[in-house]
Amino acid sequence: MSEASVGAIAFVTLLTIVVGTRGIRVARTPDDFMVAARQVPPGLNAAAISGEYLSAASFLGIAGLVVSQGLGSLWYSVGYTAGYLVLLLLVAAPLRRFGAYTIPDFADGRLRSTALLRTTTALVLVIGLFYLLPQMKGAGITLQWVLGAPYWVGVAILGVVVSGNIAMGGMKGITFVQCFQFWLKLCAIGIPALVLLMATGHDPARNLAPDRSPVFTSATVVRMPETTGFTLARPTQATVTGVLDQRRLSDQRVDLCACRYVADAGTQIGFGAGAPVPTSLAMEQLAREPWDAPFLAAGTNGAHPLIATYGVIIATFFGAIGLPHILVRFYTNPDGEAARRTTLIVVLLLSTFYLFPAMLGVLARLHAPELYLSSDPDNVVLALPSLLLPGLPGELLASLVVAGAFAAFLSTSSGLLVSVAGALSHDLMRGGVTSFRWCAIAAGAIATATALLIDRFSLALLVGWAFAIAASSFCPLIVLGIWWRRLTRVGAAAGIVVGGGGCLAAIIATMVGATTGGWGAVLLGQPAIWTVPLAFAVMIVTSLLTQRSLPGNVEQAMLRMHLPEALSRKAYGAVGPSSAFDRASGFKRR
Amino acid sequence: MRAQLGLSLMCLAVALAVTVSFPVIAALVPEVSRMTVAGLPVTLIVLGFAFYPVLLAVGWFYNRQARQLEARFTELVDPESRPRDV
Repeated sequence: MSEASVGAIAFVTLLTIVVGTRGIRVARTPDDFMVAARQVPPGLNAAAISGEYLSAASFLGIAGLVVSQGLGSLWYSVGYTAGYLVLLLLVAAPLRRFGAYTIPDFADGRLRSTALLRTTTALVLVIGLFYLLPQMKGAGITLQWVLGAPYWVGVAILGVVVSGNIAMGGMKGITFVQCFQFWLKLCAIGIPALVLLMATGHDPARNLAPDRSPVFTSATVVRMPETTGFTLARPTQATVTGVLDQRRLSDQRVDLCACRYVADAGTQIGFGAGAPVPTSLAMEQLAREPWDAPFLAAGTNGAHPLIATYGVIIATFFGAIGLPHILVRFYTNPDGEAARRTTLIVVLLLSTFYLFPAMLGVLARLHAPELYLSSDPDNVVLALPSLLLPGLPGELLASLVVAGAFAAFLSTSSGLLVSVAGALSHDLMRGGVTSFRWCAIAAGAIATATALLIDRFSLALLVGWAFAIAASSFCPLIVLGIWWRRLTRVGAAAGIVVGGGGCLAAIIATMVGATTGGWGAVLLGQPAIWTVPLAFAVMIVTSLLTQRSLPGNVEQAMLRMHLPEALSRKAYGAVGPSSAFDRASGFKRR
Repeated sequence: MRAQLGLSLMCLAVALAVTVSFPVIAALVPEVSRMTVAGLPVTLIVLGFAFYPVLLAVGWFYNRQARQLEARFTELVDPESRPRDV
């Protein structure tokens, strides 16, 4: 079965490299990118944006979290979509008219401060790294699942392919690749979801009825991937091969009571149809709320689920504005009005996509509940097709899923690495193609090395953290920068440092396991709930205190961002819709 | 600009009010999350399907209003450069 999947991975990777490297000739600078993209209609452009946006977290992570932690995990998919609505409402058109390619560019153009440029560049690196890690992890577990290769193999392959490809000049302005990858991802998750839905004769009432623990719908052999503690809801019989509670058994029928057991790695337990599905102790501890409650306790050890849910909502709703690889895509729109139309189509495309991870998660919970015994539920989407549909159809669906998953890793990590390497070489060093190449390789190497350490964190959780940092640093900067004349450079820098720094510190504390439960776990595990308001507050208060350092170009900048195109064309002459504020206003940075 | 900001904030408030109220309701009235519609849990229906049309509707309404605001503003300042599609 792995041949088809390997072929699928090779196909997606080669296609990305070939089209990517051919693209260098047509697109070398952001300006070429933009000129080439001026003919891009909103529909195509929106698909490209969505193609870059939908990452490992969306493709694998959400369904995995649904299986292991419950329906509340769907807040992630709602939040990732709503993030684009918030972007549409608050920043899409003005940001397009301003004409900055990156967030550091925006900060510099609006507030004229080199120190701020440095601060924002450093944060682009942090957010980019946090977002790259889950893509690397996704590649690691996918190859682990397809080939049985060690985790680091997939991580290393993705790291080499992506940074090599970018260093050679690919993936710059490849609207068509991103667009193709969106439709590939949509098909790769939609077709399996619909086929499996039909194949299993979906009967939701059977297992999803509240207050009932799931049961096996047919006789099932569960193989413990590692030493697992589990509990049973009621007594049952099972056939055990391996070590259960330190007793070595081989194909023996045993009576299990409604209590705790520990099975060693590799133990196989055969349950009959109608037997209760065991709950692993780790999961039980995480999911104190019922599976169908709309709460989310990822990253917080199950403490205060309502607060944790709002933490995720704030992070995802306001985080999309501040993601480093999203902004540049807006310049493929000819004007502010087109930017708005494109963003709305993105919301539509994302809404369609996110129907399917939810569907797969529920199907897995219903029909393959043994999947949530495994320690890493991020495998659910990969494993489900061949579990539910044995034989050739299941294998073909599985390869389709693998292809989609790789498209997700490649497109998102390429976009991120371009932003990170661009920020490094353009804003911190002298710039130039050679420095861009070395920065791409260095950033790729750092991300690969770090990814080897984080395989125990869920994909959706890691991406959620990247959103939280973006929401508590760049979101206030961009929103206030667009709508508030009195923002000063000191205020902006203070807000970014306090909000982004606080958020990062909280997340690192959670990652090293500094908290065990209670309020500490919630406030550190889902920090957006306090860091986002804090960042806004610090930015506003500090700005009001430092009104003397107000940049002199505020009125011009505001005019450029908010004047409808019909008027600005007249005021500035027909310079074309894409003239950046820097160029139009005659300022030069260095 | 003030009108644009007002419109944005109003749309944001509507979208947030709809989505953000759901966890509070479910926490105050736990029965809500235990209900099922056609055999599916309410949480799945709301988070998995129902929110997306709401988000889209708010976005569509905003785009229409924003375009009209800009057209009105353009006409006020300079009637000659009125865009033809509005």
